[in-house]
Amino acid sequence: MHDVFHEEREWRAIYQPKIWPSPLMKSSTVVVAGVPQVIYEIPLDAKASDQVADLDFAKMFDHLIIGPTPYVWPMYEALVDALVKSGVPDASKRIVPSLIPIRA
Amino acid sequence: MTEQTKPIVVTPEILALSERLAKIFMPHAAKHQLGYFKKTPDQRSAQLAHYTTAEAALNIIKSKRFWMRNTICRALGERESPRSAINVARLRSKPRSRRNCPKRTVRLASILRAGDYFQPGRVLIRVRGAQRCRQCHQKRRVRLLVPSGSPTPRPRRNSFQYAACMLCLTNA
Repeated sequence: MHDVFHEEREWRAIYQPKIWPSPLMKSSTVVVAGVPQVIYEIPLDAKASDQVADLDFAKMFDHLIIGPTPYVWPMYEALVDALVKSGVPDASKRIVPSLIPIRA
Repeated sequence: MTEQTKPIVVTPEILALSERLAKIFMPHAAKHQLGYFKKTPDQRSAQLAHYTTAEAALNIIKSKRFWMRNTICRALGERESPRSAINVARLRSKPRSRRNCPKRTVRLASILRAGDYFQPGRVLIRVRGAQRCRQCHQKRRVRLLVPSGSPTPRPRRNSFQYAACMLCLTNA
């Protein structure tokens, strides 16, 4: 393991649709940065299936840290709104700005 | 209910089998996984942080979906890492590169470590004549890792002290 990854303790989720396909994973074709590509979506929604009820986003979500940006408060409001609509309780208390100063 | 929509029930037996197979085929990953997810007995969850852009975070919250993309379409560094590891594995599979090697077994862990070593933006160049390896201190053909970019990267004579043999590089 590279030192950088050790510090970050980075994990990768891997899905192999041709070897172990899952009916829960939905594929779609999207264009990212001008490249059309097939993506697979991990559902974090109890409505998707009873099997992923424990993985519902509102249950899993703990808190969100906003990184260094000059637009902390507009982002804060937008994210709180999105979290409330997703059913996350106490959304406004779960978002914190990192307060890392931005380099000029 | 058709075969396509048949729900997958992950039983404790399936979990135990997956754990056992992971320990055999992916021992490094399994060790870290178990170390993280089984800190306490009967632990069923662990805290993970997902680092992403504000736009992607908003999309995840709104759609309640995580996207999994093809590794080929991802950042250059991410796709170079496994490719470098494969190149090292090919190098090590050559009989000549394994001659006089104290560790003849090609171990996955060492390949992965070597894969991290050969990063994009750096090239290995061969130093003429037998030099002393900086790691095993034996007189062997050594290679030097230098930043790529210059048209004909050549090591200076005093930089030979940083050169290492291929066996040490791949076992690093």
